[in-house]
Amino acid sequence: MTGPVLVGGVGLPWLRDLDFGTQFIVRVESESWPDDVILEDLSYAAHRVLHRLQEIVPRKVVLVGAMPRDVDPPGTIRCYTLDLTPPPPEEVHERLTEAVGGIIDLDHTLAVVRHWHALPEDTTVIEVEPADRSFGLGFSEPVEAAVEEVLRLVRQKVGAIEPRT
Amino acid sequence: MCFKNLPIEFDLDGNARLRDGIDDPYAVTVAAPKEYVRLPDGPGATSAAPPRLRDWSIDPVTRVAGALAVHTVLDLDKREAVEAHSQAMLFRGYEVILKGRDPRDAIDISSRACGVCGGVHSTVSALAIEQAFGICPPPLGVLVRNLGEVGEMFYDHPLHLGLLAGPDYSTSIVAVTNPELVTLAERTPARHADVHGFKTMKDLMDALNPLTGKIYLESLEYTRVGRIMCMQMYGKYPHPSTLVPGGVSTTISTSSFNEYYTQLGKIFDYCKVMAATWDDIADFFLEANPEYERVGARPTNLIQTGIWDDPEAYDATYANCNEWGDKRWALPGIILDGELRTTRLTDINMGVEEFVEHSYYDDWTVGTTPRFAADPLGNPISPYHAWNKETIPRPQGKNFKEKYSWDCAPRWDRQVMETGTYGRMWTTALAGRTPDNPFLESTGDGLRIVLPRHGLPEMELNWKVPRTLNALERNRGRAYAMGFTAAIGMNCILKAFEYWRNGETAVSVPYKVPKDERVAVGFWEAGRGFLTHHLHMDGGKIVNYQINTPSTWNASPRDPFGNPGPYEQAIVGTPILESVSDENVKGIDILRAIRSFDPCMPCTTHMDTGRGVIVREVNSCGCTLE
Repeated sequence: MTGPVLVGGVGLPWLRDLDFGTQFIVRVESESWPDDVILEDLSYAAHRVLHRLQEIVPRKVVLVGAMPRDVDPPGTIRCYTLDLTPPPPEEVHERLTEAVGGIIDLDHTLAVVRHWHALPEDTTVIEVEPADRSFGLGFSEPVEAAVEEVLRLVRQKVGAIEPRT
Repeated sequence: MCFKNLPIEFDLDGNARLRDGIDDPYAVTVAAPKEYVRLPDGPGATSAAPPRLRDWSIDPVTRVAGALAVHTVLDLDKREAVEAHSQAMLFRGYEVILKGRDPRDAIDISSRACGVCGGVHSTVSALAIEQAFGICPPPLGVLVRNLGEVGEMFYDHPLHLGLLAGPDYSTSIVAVTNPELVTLAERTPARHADVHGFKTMKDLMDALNPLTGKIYLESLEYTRVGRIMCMQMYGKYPHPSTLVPGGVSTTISTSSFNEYYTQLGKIFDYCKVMAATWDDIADFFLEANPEYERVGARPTNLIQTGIWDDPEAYDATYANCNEWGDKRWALPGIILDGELRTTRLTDINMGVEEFVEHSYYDDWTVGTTPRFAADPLGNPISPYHAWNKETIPRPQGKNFKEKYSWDCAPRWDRQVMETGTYGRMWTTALAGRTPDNPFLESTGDGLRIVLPRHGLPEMELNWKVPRTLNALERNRGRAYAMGFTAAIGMNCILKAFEYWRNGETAVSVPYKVPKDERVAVGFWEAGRGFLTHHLHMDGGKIVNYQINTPSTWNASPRDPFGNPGPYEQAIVGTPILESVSDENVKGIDILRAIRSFDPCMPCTTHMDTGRGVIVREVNSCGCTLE
């Protein structure tokens, strides 16, 4: 595999913690990263992300976003290697139909890109449990506190050297 | 004279004025909503059996976002829909967000008003702002915008025809609702097999199947081509950041145009195939059962703002908007009962009012004096006009007799108007004029479109103005709209090459943000038609900003006069043509009626199962919403 490493943020603009993916990328993109690492805001509909992945063919992907699963306390970080088995076609169709209408949703993205096998085996998802889902800018306290740990996890996953302190 | 309800008349020089002697020219007399009477009326009513009615809700139309719900009543004896309410379920709030901001912020922020086609909002916002600032883009800047918007339509239209509306006519759906049509399709040759390659109608309907059908998959792929075209002109898509007042900030090069031209070439064949596909689909259904003509039918009342400017005519001023509007490739216009009444943007603008009688807003006219009695040219405008509007949300419970939607009710001359991609073809066709060019001709009753050779040979498409505005004709029109758009794209790219060769390569002009009071409007069109942004600024900040989108018109609830909105009109009278028993009716014909408008909310097929509505936060298309 010779493609780049893609770190993608998926967020919902102006919805505070739900915009974590986008804002995380904005915060860290100016830091030092290996040459083959691409940091991108992937906060757009699932099929557009599919097309983007098909264009760059990454060898490794790390996706970052806030997902309200309502099972963990706010600020909880869930980091997992993605099972690339696609959901059933009916579910993919439902999610794609929503996505083409403009809905941004990490689960929609994961369903659609897995259906078309656009993710490499080495794909990690890092989710943060949001606290504040209201309109506005900036993160809630627990989510703000998770930023550094998410950054550490991303660096670890992409093989980036920790910046000197 | 194009107004019959508003007391607006024109003097001999064509200047509009209010008729004398009317105390309150914009008075609103509220009428009770026209509801379906559930019991028979008249002689013998008491002995007549009550109709077998079924409340039928498509709620939420989107599976979880719940942006649109449609509540209908089906008469199972007559097998048709007899009542409908269209309910926009979310408050958008951009107008509130934009107050007090630098007007340039509106370009980026309003872009998010639509998750499908953010470029059109950025563009119309830039148009409004450059009008307010008193600047005009260089000709190539206008062409780059035109080309970007051609690209965006090729993102939008394939999505609708291939992924949203197409499956309604696919084998997988029709086999459930009308299995006899699948049997008929198996033995019916497809008339345009030589173009699209499918021998029988069954083959063609197979190609519309979700996730597996060839047309479904190709349509998904062509959205990539549209997106690339946008990116060539805008640098980034979706939600471009390069649309600015006075042009674009993209770094344009020869290769930008060359690459765009390459992508446009790929589109030609897809346009030919889609026109052939939807001709065959529409004709097959109409011939199998002429009752399909009634599905989604409503009066041919259309309102369009026009799109794709002539770089030599467009000067960004309101004073000359009738002149440059008349030079647009797709013309603005008002069509009433099938007749083109005007193509003047000032007529369109002064006739628009927005009502909130049945919307979750307070009436801003109560106890206040309108900011403006006239537009900048002195044409009268209503207290209910966008320049006078205030967005005052008032959330409350749903009550169909009172308030039931976050959408307001825009009306033109107090009449219910629809807008669409096909609408701009309709106005252009009826106007009977197009600039001299090799690819597109308005014939007065249709459009002649010449698409150059690519994989398929050069082909002439002829779209005729339909006799009825219904679901199938909306889809057929949208399919031809792709050829229409490609022809405009060809003209614009050739013109752009000309400017480029002549060294006229500027795409933007410098500007300063004025500090005095300014009033402006951007007229443009989205994939689905009519689009305006009305701006009032002072002290370098936005005082008021109002967005009016296609789905604001199409999804509107009833107005104060009791008239249903376009979706509602289109549903009432739609026959239930499914050949299954009452208990197995899926409501597909109602869904076809709604989807044919290409609602900005993704109009999925999820019926209310009684399991309730899942609510979650979304960032999506909120085009119908305030």
